[in-house]
Amino acid sequence: MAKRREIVLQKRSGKMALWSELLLLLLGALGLLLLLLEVPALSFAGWVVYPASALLCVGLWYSRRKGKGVFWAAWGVSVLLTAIGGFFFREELAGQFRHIGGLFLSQSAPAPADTTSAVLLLLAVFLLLLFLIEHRWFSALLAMALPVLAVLAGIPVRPLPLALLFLWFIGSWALWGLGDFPCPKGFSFTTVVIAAALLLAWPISTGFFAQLGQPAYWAEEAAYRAWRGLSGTASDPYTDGSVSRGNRYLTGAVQMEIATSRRPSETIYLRGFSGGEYQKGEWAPADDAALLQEVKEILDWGNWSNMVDGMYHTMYYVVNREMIWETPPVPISITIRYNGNQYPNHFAPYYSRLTSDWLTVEDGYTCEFYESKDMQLDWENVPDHFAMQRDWNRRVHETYAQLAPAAYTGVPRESLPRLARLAEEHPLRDMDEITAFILDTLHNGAAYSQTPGWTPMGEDVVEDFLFEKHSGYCVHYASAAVLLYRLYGIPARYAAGYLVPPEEFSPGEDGNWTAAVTDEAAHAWAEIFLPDHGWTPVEVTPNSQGEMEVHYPGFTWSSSHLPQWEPAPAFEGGERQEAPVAFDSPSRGPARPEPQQWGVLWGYLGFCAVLLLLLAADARRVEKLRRLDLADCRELFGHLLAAFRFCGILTDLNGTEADFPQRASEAIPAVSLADWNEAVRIISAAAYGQGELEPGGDAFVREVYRRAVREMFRRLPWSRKLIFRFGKGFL
Amino acid sequence: MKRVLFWILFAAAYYLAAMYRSQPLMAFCLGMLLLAMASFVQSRLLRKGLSVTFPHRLQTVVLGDPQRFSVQIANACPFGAGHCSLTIRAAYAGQAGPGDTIRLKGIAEPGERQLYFSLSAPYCGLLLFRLDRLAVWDGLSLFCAKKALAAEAKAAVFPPWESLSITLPCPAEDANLSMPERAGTPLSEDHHEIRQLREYRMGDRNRFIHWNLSARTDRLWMKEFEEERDRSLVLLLVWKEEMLLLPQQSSFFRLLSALIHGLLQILPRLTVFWWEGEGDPLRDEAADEDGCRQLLVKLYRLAARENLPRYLPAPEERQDAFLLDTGLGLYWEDRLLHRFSPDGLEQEIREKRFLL
Repeated sequence: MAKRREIVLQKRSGKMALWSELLLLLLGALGLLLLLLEVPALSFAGWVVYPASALLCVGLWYSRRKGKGVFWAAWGVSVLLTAIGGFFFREELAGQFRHIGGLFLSQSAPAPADTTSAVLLLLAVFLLLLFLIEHRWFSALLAMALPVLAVLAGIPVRPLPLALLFLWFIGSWALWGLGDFPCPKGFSFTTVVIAAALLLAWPISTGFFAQLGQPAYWAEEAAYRAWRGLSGTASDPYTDGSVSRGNRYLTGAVQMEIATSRRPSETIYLRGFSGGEYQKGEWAPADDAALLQEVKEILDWGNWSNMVDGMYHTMYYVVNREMIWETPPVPISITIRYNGNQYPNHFAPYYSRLTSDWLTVEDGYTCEFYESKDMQLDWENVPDHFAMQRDWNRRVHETYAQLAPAAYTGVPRESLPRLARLAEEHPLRDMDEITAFILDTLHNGAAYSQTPGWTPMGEDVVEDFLFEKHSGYCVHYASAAVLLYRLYGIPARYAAGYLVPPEEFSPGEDGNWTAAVTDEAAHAWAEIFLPDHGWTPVEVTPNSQGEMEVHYPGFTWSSSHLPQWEPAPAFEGGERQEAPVAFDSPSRGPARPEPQQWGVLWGYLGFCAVLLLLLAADARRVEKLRRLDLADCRELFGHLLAAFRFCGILTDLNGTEADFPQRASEAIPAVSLADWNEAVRIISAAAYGQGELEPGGDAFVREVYRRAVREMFRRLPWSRKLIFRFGKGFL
Repeated sequence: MKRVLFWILFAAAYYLAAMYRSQPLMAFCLGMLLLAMASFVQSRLLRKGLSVTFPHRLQTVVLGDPQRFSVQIANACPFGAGHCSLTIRAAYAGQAGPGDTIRLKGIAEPGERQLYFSLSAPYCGLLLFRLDRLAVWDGLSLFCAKKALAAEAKAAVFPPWESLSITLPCPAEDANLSMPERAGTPLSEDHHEIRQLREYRMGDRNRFIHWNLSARTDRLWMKEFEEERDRSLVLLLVWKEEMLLLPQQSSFFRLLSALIHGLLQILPRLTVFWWEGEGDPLRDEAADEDGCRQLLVKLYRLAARENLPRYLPAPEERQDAFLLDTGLGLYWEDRLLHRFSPDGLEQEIREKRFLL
């Protein structure tokens, strides 16, 4: 049978750690520390952290170079010291870790706090883990994970830490591929190529970011469509209070079919969800039931209390219908049928009442509603026979209006500091002024885009939309508007459902007008509580031309008075174009002053340079000693004479004198006269003899050499000892 | 797997860079892509710039002894390879099948260097080495460029020095000697004149060392008698079907070598005959170790031929001749002296004594 043999050549000894590995580790640690510098409200004493991390890194690397036993001892001691330090400072560490956790998870921006101990501990654990898992692929993965995690957490990544982490990643990857082989020569050539790649990549990514990133959006869209198609949910009408942290893609599937008795002249807002409390990018459903319960308790109608719910949901329609009109408006009858398999909630227009609920899926459900132009509520202008009913409805309305502000003006200010600061810096009281300000802010501060990208962890999606990315779609506009309204004390709710413009309707065979509603019509908007009209929709999202026009009873606003700017296309990416009107978006936290960063960098590099110099000197000494081990007796004698001259001993002798052994034994008593004589004999035979060198002769002379240099070393002052050992490499 | 992981990491980082609109992360990904492209180019350039040859086309090896073989790699590029892998096929000449595969892994730095590998040949014969393929990786081990190679080298695997102990019959003038006398050393110095003195050659018997001269000159000298110069013997080789199998070939050559060495201790030279087909036999003479090896090489080449005749019978006339067949049967004239066993061949060679 044919055999297969694999022979690995040029394997380097596993004991020796590569210099390049140390360099990469130091660069990686520095990159990590520079990344941490960018975290807002994270502060640590650089003069402690940088040297400590460099020392630990160099110490563990050096111990690994000395052998596995030394390494494990050093590693164990490091773990022990870390554990002891962690135990003694546990309370302080607990507080600091809570602070760090809050920075990344809570979406709030706490005040800066010193976290030196926590950062030290994290770095120590990081380095100990790196050295424990010796596999270079782990280093490479970690080097790549750090900038990715920084981006996910919303930490800005500057060019320098990026370059350091990139070097660490590529270097570790290359060393992983080498395995046990030594580094090939031409390392400098490789470094140049890596540096060139990074230097090219930076300007290309800056100038062509949009073009480079577009394929990712195409891929995400294709995956989304495929998933919706395969799961069979494309036709399901669905809406909830989740403010998307990502992009919006459409399938074009028809989700519902609606039929109206006549063609509407206004856009129909089919509301399926109203948002109450806002927490971390989610609107909880508005709890009108609890509110109405309070209304019942206040009104105290006894057995008639059950009427309150029905009255509330239909009173505006009913009052409008019962008013005295010259020409009474005709309500539109709308029948809604779903296409998919899910029937989560009703989608009802404003100012409507349900006339028939669905008995079967095919039947759907029917409402009657008035368009807003036909809603001219005048509570006094009702016929006498309706006066009592009007009073009951009005009492429900007024009671509800009293309770609505408390229920629908709450904002979690600690997680929306910039939004809160924006409202504080622009104090307004009048409803129309507030609406105008909100619309101005949204128009100037953001551009419409269905692919604004993802919101980083720990960042509120609305603040990210308005103050960071400056782009988003209806859910972001609506959420921002509602929160701003609430900050100004105006009851507002986030509403979601479907938007069906008149042009979607086409005449049907039975005289009705029908429209097929796809997911393109899914929409979100703000609704505010108007004194006479109840919950009224406010359209705060620009149209496809980037224009905004808002109408509600008593108010009209158009963005035509503002300079227009291009609505964002499908994906822009990169730098946002400047808003036409200056928009002062407050930053998330104070940035660190630039000079401090450079000072830290140079200090760290200088410290590392000193350490590396010491290591290089030791490595040189080790190499010299290794060569001495291989040297023959003649070379050893040459080194011995050089050591004599350095120490100022027997400087007048060159080793050939007859009395050399005598004088040497007097100068270096550690070696006896007999040994000196024997050594000189061996060396002379090697230098001048005709025969072969004696076996064991070199070893004997080496032993004499070592005893002599140890004796000389003992006598030297400490400054010359350093040179004797590390400079000259005699011992 | 490494390559797949690299591209997975790239895809994940690129996706996140686009989704989070992170220009630095996009630069990171772009840097990875640019380096991957550079690595691709590097692997192709290295494939073009690397050349591999055998510095020694023919080597001699002793059976069972580990032998170092070398391969020369020349890298004309100014940069080294991540690592490279060289596939060498080793097979005995005439052997069916792909043979053994040896894969050398190392790094190829700029310039020329030799890579060594050690091999212990299991059989006697002609061992052929063929460079099959060179695979070279770039610095990031992402791309592998392969190159077919064509260089060949040969190694003649000789058996270790062994000698069969053979006592030849005395010449006619010694017919009156008793058997014990004749059964003594094949050649007795008491009966023959010393023709000349020569230097010791490996395999010579200690008995005929000229100790006095050797002591005086610090060299070993052998006595060469008249009888040695005049006497010669014939060795016939007969092929059988077992010859087609490599282990049997190896055993045959080993026994042949031991036989030749044994005979050369008592004879100045030996003439060997063999047939390669119909017609006259081929002959060769062996007078020393070199001659024995040259003969073996000729026979190795013969054994490697695909058109080797399956069987050739021994000639009828075999007077004063040894015959050795590939079934390891040793004959003297018409008589089978011994059929050696392939399994215990080494021991039998060492212990067997033939008194003719």
